[in-house]
Amino acid sequence: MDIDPKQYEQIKINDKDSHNIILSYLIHGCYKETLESLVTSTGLKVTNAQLEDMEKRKRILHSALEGNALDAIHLTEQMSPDLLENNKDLLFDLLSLHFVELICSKKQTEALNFGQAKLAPFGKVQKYVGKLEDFMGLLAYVEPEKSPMFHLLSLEYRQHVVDNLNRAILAHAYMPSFSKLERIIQQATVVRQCLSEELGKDVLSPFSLKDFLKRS
Amino acid sequence: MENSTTMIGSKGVIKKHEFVRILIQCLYSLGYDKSASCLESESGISYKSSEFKLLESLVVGADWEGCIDNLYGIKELTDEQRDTALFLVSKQYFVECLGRGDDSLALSLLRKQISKLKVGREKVHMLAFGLLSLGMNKVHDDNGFQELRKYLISELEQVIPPPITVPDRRLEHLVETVAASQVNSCIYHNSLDPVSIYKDHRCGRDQLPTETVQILSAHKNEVWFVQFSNSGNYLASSSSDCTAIIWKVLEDSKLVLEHTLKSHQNPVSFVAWSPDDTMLLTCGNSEVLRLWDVETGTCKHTFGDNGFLVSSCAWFPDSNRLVCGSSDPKKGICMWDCEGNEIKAWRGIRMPKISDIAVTPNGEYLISIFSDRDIRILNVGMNTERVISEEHPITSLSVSGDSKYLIVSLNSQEIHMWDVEGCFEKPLRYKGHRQHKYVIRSCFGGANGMFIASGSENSQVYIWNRRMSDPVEVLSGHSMTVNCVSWNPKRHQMLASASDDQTIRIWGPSSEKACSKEL
Repeated sequence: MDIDPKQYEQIKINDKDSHNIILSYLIHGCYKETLESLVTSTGLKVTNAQLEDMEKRKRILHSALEGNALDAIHLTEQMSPDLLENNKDLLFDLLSLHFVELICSKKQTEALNFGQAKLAPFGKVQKYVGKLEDFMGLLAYVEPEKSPMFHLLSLEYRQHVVDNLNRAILAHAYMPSFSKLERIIQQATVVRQCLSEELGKDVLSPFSLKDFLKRS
Repeated sequence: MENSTTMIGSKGVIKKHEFVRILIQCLYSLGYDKSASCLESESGISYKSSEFKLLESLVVGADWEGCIDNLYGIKELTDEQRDTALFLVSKQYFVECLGRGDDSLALSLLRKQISKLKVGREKVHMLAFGLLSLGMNKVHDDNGFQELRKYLISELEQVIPPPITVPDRRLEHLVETVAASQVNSCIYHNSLDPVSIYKDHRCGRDQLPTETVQILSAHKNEVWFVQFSNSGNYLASSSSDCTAIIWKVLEDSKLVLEHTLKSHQNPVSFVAWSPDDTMLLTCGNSEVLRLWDVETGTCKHTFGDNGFLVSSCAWFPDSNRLVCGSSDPKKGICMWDCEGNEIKAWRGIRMPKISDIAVTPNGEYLISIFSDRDIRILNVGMNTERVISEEHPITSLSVSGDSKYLIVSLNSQEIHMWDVEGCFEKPLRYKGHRQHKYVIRSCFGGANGMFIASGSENSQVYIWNRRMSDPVEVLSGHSMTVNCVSWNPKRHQMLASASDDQTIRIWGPSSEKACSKEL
């Protein structure tokens, strides 16, 4: 039983809903210029305060992504005080980004000193010990990109930490930490998977978003 | 200095200097340091090899680079052993650097040498973690380091192979191996006592029950079943005279009649002791299942109604739950508690006729014989089962005391032993006795359950050592078919047999030749 595309036509979508979905996506990703264009074309309302916040958030995220984690931490503390105080996991991840940056720049001694000063306190809490061992382990290798922990040096890892930071800042400002678009796609995927399980694997093939989008 | 090619021993295959060296090790390990060093000087043979002594001095003197070079120079090491040893040495070097506050040397050691060793990344990461100085480096003074270095030396001793070192407790191991091997090949070995190393171990047949020491004649018809209680203090027997009898085993190993259990209307073919020996179950092929109190000899409960025919039964280790199997295919297997409440049942058309049932002493498996030829082993906890199909009718099922093995008696005159967990592809076979037409039962017995006993249609009792398929003893005395045997689980030299000649014989070792008749 595959979904009959003709059934789509029964469902009407409100323009305003579509605009809101896109708006939330652009805010989430800090796409300030695009957002300003959209606002002009559609007559949606966005306040100056909102735009300023987006700009600040953008600077924070870009710093972190470019390897400037210490700047990112400083700016976050300015914008959302006590956010990192209450989110030690995130603070650890940001500090570890700086640590990794030092290692990539071949500054082992500086990295060691930074580790001893800033990361060591986390080592007293059991749940950070494993992560700490992995990061410190990077110091042991002359070519860390060839070590077993090379994924900690990757862009994917940095992006992952930056995403978490973004969500935390949004949550701190009582804004949704997931954009509406993300939620809609997640919902559709979960529903299709549930149906798949209930009706048995032979009836519905596993849901692939990519295929679905291609078809429509 | 001894010539290192001198041989000793009658066959000249043992090198004298190796022999002396393990003797010295033995003296040290027993705490006789003075004797050990005296032997070292008298024989001129040193316990520690010169290579090891060199390595030892390098460690004690903290000449770490020297240690590392030394380890690279030892040809007898495999790559894995070398990396392990290098890691141990480098680790101590690393720890001592950190202890002195020399972080940068420690870091460079980690990067240049340690991370290149093939020792598993967790070990490397743990050392790196140590750079954070979180208290791992509690050792700062020289005394502390000396202790650690001593420990390092003993660790290196475990890693570096002979002949540079001698494996721990070598002499003990050699003697133990020989003693164990002698015990294993001793076919009459029937005790749990330690053996003397003064002579080569070999038991005589006086270790086994081979002579009749008592004849019990209280039954008025064929005796079909006997079983000792778990404590070995009682014997239960059942007969086609429709009764069961509980006998008490006295201190001097004589048996006296304690209770006669009368209320069955038909022959009683099976009894089962509760694991705590306070209760006895009796049943027969055309009979109901009854529960008796052992102390008073009274019937506490009857299970099912008149139509409920139980062929055999078994207890769970809690002495509260019991299972019984029915020869009526519609009834299947039922689990009850002692008050008579039914807990569970395996019924239905898929449940064929059950002729025998047993529970392993650890309570993990329920084993049943159905349709004559199939052995069904059910894992109670996981509810998974396995079936072994035999080619001939099975007449009895017994489980070993350690819950690992089961034996079945077959009408093809063989007893087959299978393992409960299912690793055997073929059974171990025991033969020599006679069994064509009747239900003949067999059992495990002796110290560690190393023996198997069985009745036989030629009125004899057969005993096998589990390692051999032919009997080690054949006991004569009964005048008709021996239906069942039971080996006392605590008195390893006492065996009971039940026969169509209406008597029960108690067998003991041949030094106790007294044979008396009792009622």
